[in-house]
Amino acid sequence: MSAAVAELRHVVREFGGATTVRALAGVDLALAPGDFCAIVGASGAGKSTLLNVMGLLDRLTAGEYFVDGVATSGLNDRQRSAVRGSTIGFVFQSFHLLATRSVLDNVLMAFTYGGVPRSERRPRAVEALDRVGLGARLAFSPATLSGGERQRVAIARAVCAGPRLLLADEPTGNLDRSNSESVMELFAELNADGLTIAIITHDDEVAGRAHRRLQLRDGTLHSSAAEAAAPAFQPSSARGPAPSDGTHASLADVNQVTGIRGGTRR
Amino acid sequence: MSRRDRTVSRSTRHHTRPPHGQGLGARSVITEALDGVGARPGRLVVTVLGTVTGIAALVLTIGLGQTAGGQLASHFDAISSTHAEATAAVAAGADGAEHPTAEIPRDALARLDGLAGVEAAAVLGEVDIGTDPITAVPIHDPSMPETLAPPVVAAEGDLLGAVSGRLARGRFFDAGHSARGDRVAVLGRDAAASLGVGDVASRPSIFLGGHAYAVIGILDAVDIQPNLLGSVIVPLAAARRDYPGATAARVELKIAVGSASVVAHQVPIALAPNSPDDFDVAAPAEPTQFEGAVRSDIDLVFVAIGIITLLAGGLGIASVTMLGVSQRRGEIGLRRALGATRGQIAAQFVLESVVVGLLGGVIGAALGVFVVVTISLVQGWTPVLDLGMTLGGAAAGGVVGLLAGGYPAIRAALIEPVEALRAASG
Ligand SMILES: Nc1ncnc2c1ncn2[C@@H]1O[C@H](COP(=O)(O)OP(=O)(O)OP(=O)(O)O)[C@@H](O)[C@H]1O
Ligand SMILES: [Mg+2]
Repeated sequence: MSAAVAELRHVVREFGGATTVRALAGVDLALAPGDFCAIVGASGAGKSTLLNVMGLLDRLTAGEYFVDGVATSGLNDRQRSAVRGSTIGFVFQSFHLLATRSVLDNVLMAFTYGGVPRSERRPRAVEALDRVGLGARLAFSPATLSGGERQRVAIARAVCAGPRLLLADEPTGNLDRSNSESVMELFAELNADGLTIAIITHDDEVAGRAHRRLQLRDGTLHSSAAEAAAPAFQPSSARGPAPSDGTHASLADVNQVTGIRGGTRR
Repeated sequence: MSRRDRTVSRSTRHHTRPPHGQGLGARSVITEALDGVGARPGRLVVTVLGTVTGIAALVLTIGLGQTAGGQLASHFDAISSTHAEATAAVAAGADGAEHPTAEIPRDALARLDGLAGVEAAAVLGEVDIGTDPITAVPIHDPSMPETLAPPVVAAEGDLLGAVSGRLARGRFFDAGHSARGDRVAVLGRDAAASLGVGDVASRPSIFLGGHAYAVIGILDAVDIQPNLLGSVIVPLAAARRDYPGATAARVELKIAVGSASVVAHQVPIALAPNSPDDFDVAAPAEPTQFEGAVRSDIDLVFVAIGIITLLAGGLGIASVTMLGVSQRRGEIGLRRALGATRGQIAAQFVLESVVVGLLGGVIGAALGVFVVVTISLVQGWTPVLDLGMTLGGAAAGGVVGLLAGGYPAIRAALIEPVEALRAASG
């Protein structure tokens, strides 16, 4: 039994209005623990919509979405928020750092809505900032950082609470080549540690760092031709026991936070 | 970044969470709200100003009212504990109107003389002079505009002592004037002004229905019976001669501190040993009812100003919070992505405006107290400040913030996370 960290089944997302836009027209996708997947596609193809659905930021029109084997369609706002807080990390193209707070405070925000004990928060935030190479900038204002540094602060914020799934919507979209590379290096390292990652990008080189490449076209996913040409990492079967440990720990977390009992577990 | 660092990330991911995640971070949300308020100090000043003004106006009005009231009360207490007034009891007559049941005896002053606790006594009564004019010149000029004649009061005894009066000029009439039936007069300050009498050294005359009365003094101030200041005061004996109906209607008494109950018991017996119930002794009527009525009107205006300012302050908080909600959509989206529920978003914005309101309330209440104390200091009053009222003022600021923040907070909570994130760039 292999529990996918995230699994979409026949997911449809339509936007109402004068004319209905069908952004996702039956998407099937399963992300196994440790997957590193790049999603590409033309502008307006529905990439952001797909990622928002996977992040529980948006709702489905039809289909079902499972996080760690738990069906999400029956969850209320509080439960969805708890899953976001405990299981999913987000990295945005525009960083979303608060300009009025220090680098460290921005990362500490990740703990505001979670159950991490107060005494653990600061050490873990500092640890995460060390991890992204910004351990010396704790008291800096984000305004004084370069774009690449800002994005690394945002990544520290996304991973410091220990998510199971990292979703990144064009994380290198505002960065130059060398900053992009350092950010992608960071993603690759996080993935090598077992973190499941889905990343949207327009950049072939960025997509090349992933070991799965999917193209969104006409609202459905297709394996991209370039997938074979991206042998960045070992196949998932060779990646050690850490991910499955994570599966159990994290599923328990979801249940505790959301109060779900006996949810569909796959 | 070296490969060695990876262990750090791994250990990060495997921290266990406490079993109970609910009630998540009430403390965190409060901290976030405080940070949110402190993040824009310039805007904060503007936002707080309306609440500060409104609360200050309310605290000032109420505090000043209480202080002035306390002042009045203590002043009045001092007067009423040293003055008393004896009048004939009234009973309903055959015509249904109320009539005095007895007259003040002619020898009233002699009867009261030496009574324990009585320091000064005078009998007095208003004199009905009909349509007689009162003028400062001997010949009545019919072409002169008719002016309302000041009331005439006939008195005997130590009136100056009984009402704790002070003379601006001259002297008061005494027992000798009364015994001789001299036509002399003491003018109240206001009556002197209206009659055009300024000096008494030359013994100017005023003419009361054709009789010349020599003005021997001008009364400047009294502790009780302020209407004396507008009156012409003449000896009772002279008044009886010119107006046979003139009679004493009451006895004014200056009494020793603490003797009020003794006096109240003894004076009726002294005046009418056989029927002491015919006389009532009471503290003088409160002289400030009219002033009080004016004050409460002024209070009403101030309270209205305070409430209107407070409303404006609340609207200010509401609109600034609303502005904050639309400017901080990105932050809202981010917080939602980090796991904030709608309720926590709403709580944050409500708390922020409550903090702003409370801040305004505290500053406003302090300002109000400061002004009350300053005014009291200048006036030589004892400031009377109800602690509950002051704290209530500060709390009212918080309530204003709560009401003002409610709607923007709901709007913030209803924003879909996707919308919030799409709208803003960080
Ligand atoms: N809230 C919405 N209301 C209506 N239509 C929407 C909404 N959100 C997205 N769409 C539509 O859904 C389609 C997919 O949008 P989406 O943002 O997912 O594209 P994308 O692949 O991320 O594009 P890009 O590469 O430009 O970011 C687009 O046609 C868009 O106009
Ligand atoms: Mg997009």
